[in-house]
Amino acid sequence: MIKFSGISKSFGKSKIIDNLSFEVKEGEFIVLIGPSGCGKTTTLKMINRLIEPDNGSINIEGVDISSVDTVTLRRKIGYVIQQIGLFPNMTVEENICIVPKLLKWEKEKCIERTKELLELVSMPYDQYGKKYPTELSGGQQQRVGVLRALAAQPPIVLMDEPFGALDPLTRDALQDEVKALQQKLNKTIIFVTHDMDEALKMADTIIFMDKGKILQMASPEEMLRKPASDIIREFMGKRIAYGNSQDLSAEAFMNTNVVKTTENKQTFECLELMKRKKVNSIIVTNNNNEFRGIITIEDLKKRGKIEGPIGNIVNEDAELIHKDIAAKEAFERLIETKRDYLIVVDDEKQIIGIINKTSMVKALADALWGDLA
Amino acid sequence: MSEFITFLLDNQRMIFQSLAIHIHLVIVAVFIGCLIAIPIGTILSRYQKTAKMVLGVVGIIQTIPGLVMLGFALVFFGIGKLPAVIVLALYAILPILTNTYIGITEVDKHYKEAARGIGMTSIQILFKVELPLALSAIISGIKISTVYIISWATLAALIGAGGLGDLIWTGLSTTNDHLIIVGAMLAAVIAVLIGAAIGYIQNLVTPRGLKVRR
Repeated sequence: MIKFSGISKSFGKSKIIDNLSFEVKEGEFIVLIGPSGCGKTTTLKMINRLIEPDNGSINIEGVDISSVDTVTLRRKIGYVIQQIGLFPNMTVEENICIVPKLLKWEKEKCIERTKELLELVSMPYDQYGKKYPTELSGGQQQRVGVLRALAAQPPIVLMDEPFGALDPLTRDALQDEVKALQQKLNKTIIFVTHDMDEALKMADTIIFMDKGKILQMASPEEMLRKPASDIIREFMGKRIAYGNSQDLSAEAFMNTNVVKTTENKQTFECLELMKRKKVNSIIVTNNNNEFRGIITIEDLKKRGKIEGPIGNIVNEDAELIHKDIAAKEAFERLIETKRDYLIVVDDEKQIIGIINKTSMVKALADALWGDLA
Repeated sequence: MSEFITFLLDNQRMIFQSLAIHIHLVIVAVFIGCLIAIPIGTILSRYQKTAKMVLGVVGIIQTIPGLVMLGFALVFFGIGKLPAVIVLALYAILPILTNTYIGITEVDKHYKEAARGIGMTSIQILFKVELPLALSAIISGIKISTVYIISWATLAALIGAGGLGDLIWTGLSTTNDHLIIVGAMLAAVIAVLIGAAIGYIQNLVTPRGLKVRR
């Protein structure tokens, strides 16, 4: 879809872009990220020729863009900037319709398109169409900014830190909306940000730049797992604090809220306990809190007697793991054995917790976004 | 007081005539001023280095006393309305020129970038973005010019252009206080009225979106 080949650009003596080559596939959400001055915005602006490269070529769908008239080119590429840039002398409708009007769409078609687009972001035309940008909140303004970029159905949309000036809540909502729109409309989006959280959330592919070069071009997952350099690692910050997750033990992620009972309890008591704790199996221990077995609700129904302790009917078939084994290994065993949970015991064989899929999700979330607890 | 009113009634024809000529002079001069200043201001906004020079030169012209300019005009163009209009138009240019230039150059660069980025030609950017956003400033310039020119036009009578200046100068030379008062008062009154009228128009043509401030 978009192909950079050997692009370089200098402003004065300083080299902003240094022999840059990469390719973007159709429908891909690309995030350009890096420290300020890394050349990400320059790279973006070369795509719609707001900045011209000194060397190299950029192809869009196989056509060298330097051979295309800039005005024609730009009308086929949506453009959203951080400062929003809605024209204050025009209404929401007029702003959205600028490019379609430049392309000489019929008036009815323009209005229809505006309605359709405003609907996408839940801003009804009747209520917002005739308003001026200053009458909208920041979030609403940038929604309109995004719609303006989408109005003439360009296959490619460029976004230059579009949510940088918004408050965190609004930003979060807009990120979700834009991501959803991109998937729904199958747009190729090139998105510049300096916010790693935003990049990880939005991108299919992240291009990490520094000093005009690409340090790494990878999926968010891969970048988290294998950051290619210290600068990237630094940028990721706490998100890869668990980068050495090999060192973490099962104990770090286990759920300590274990429903257990002793072997001399009666069937009826166990049923009550399950009901109260809303679980379908409980761990049975002896009087020393050592593992005796587990008992499930099915076991109770089938074999449980009205009288007599449950110790007689426990199922000893369960997976025990030591608290010090690596979390990764524990998770692997959980998946392999297809069990609901593994029981974590300490050196004295005391039950101290369980590892289940919830623990796994928590571990993943921690690795991705830092310690949530 | 009653004497003054009798004077007004006796001379109403002459007074109205002077008033009409005066307004006519002002309108023609300001109109010509606009015709020259707005396009030049717009072009200058594209050439910022030249702009500083041109604005400097026009500023110097502005400091030449009106009487001197009228003298020159008399030498070159003779007596009558034409030289007066030329001189007045020259004075009308500066405020309109500077306001047009500043109005356009001070349009937030984000708007220009957004306009360029979505594929407007520079002519479209000028007419759809820059001029509409600079309009209020341009009209302010016209207002300043007009109010100036109304008072300066009283000098035009000296080279035979007529207008309220006629009343004042005749009054001065014949020590007729009534004439002086009528001429001066009318000039002041129309300056205030026309100033207010332009202010009203300015408000009218400013889009709602530029007025609302949060």
